[in-house]
Amino acid sequence: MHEHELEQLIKETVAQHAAAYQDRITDLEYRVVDALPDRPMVVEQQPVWPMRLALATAAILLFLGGFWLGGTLSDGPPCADPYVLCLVYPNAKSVSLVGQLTQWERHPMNGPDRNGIWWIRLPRDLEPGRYEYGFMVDEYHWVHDPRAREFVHTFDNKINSVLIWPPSQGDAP
Amino acid sequence: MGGDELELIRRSLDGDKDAWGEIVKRYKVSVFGIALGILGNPADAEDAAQDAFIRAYQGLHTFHLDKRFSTWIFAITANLCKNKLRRDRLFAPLKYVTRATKSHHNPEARLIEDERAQMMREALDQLSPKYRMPLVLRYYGDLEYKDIAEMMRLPEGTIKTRIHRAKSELKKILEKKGVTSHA
Amino acid sequence: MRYLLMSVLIVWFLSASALALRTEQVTPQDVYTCFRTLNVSDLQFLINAYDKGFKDRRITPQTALTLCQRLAQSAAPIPLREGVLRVIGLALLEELPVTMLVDKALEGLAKGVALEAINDELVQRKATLGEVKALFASKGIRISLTIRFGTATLELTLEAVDTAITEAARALEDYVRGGQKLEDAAAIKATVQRYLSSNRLIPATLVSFIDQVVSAAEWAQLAQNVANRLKK
Repeated sequence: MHEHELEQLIKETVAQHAAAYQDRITDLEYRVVDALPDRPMVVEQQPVWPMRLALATAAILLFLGGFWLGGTLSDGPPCADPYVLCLVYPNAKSVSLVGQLTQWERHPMNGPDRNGIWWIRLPRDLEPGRYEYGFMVDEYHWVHDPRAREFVHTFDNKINSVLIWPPSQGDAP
Repeated sequence: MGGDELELIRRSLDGDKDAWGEIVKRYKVSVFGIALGILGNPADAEDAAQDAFIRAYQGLHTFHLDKRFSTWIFAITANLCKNKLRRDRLFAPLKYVTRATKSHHNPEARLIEDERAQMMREALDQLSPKYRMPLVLRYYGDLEYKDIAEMMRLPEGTIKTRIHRAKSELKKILEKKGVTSHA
Repeated sequence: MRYLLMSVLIVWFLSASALALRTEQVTPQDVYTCFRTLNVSDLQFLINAYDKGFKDRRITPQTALTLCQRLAQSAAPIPLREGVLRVIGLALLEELPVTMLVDKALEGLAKGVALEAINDELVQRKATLGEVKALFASKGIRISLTIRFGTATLELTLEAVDTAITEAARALEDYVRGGQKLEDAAAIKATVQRYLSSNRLIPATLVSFIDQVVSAAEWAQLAQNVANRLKK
């Protein structure tokens, strides 16, 4: 039997087998939709700290003189902050921000936290404009930011996310 | 990926479940096929397909929009099947050993398949899952070697070798059964 | 705690100063030395082209050095690495803005894209930049010229014109590569205007002027040209 014929037969065999039991999946989409959680993404939660601890931490952070430093000391990613980019990727060993913001150099992101969230703080003096970026996961996987409002296609149809700065009201951070 | 498919995925990312329902509708046959090809048992394959679509929705943010959606969903399906086989092997060795015969009990299903395909299915059932899985993904799922390698966390060379060996084995089995070339 | 704060600030200040000093120190000679280490076949061409670029202020030695250093890290054959520098050098000789080209080269290198693909992309985008520049020139949008729009007049600086060319070319490329409709001239023009408006370096008067003098059909023609180049 020729190689090509064998490969074709494998394909047909599996297809026929599946077709024979097709009635099992007639209403699969309805069953799936019924079983879905509300959102596909783990929604990042701001850490709920007791008020005193929050106040004390805020005071210490202010004393240390900067929001940027605060970001690195905090134990949860402040993803609701428009100056923070977040990516949920629990299985990653490393995630870097790469884009026009970094002159396409890899800037390692903080994380992951217990929800698998990686995050990085943008510079406070970010000039208004459009910035293309993405995340490099485990050194070679190019991942777009699902929270971006715009995307562009580039090399090999890979997708860059676009950060429009400052974000207009109503935009996701 | 077609523009409207991309749009469905974006809508799903925004929590639109109906958009995801449309994606399920489009891919359910092939996903079920992958699961059935690997597991051999329609009931298990049905569960695996349903589970794959639910998990894919939960982890949709990890899907790269620049990749083929089919590759991604097939990889999720295959991983679920792999885990299922591993569990079965650990907890019910007998069930695993006899899985090959379970799918033959439906006489209606038999009628639809032609004889060559039936022989091929029996031959596929005789292969160990580590050979059958890459074979199904490559020739039914149309996945590239590198995607299968990434999914199975093995070097691309190992996948090529396994597929080559699997095909040689299938040829031998089919020849024994008297299946010859159509050409 | 105060001592900790002081030491953090001092370390930060020292490293920032050191970085600033180092940045200032990059000269064209540093760039040419880097070109030499790449063993390029036509060093003189690159020196002439980049020298013009530095003088025209279309590229800084710092940016050129960054590009050269990233290319030096690539494992691709020398001719391919030289190709990237050459395309950008040609653009500098043709007095085209090179921000987008440098940006795309760095992006490609960061993503590990094959250098052949990077070169192809740069050649295509350079052609688009040339066409946008010609279109603008035909409408009187040139460096050092003054445009009159309503009651406003505006002297066009190199920065304003080059940025407008870059943003318009980027908009066309993104539009076409995104697989959007080539026959929808109004949408193409709207995309270009949106990109122009989002860049602060382009004065609002120039954005309005371009809106007035460049028709949707003219932008659509350039988009079609982009699509034709991509098919090749």
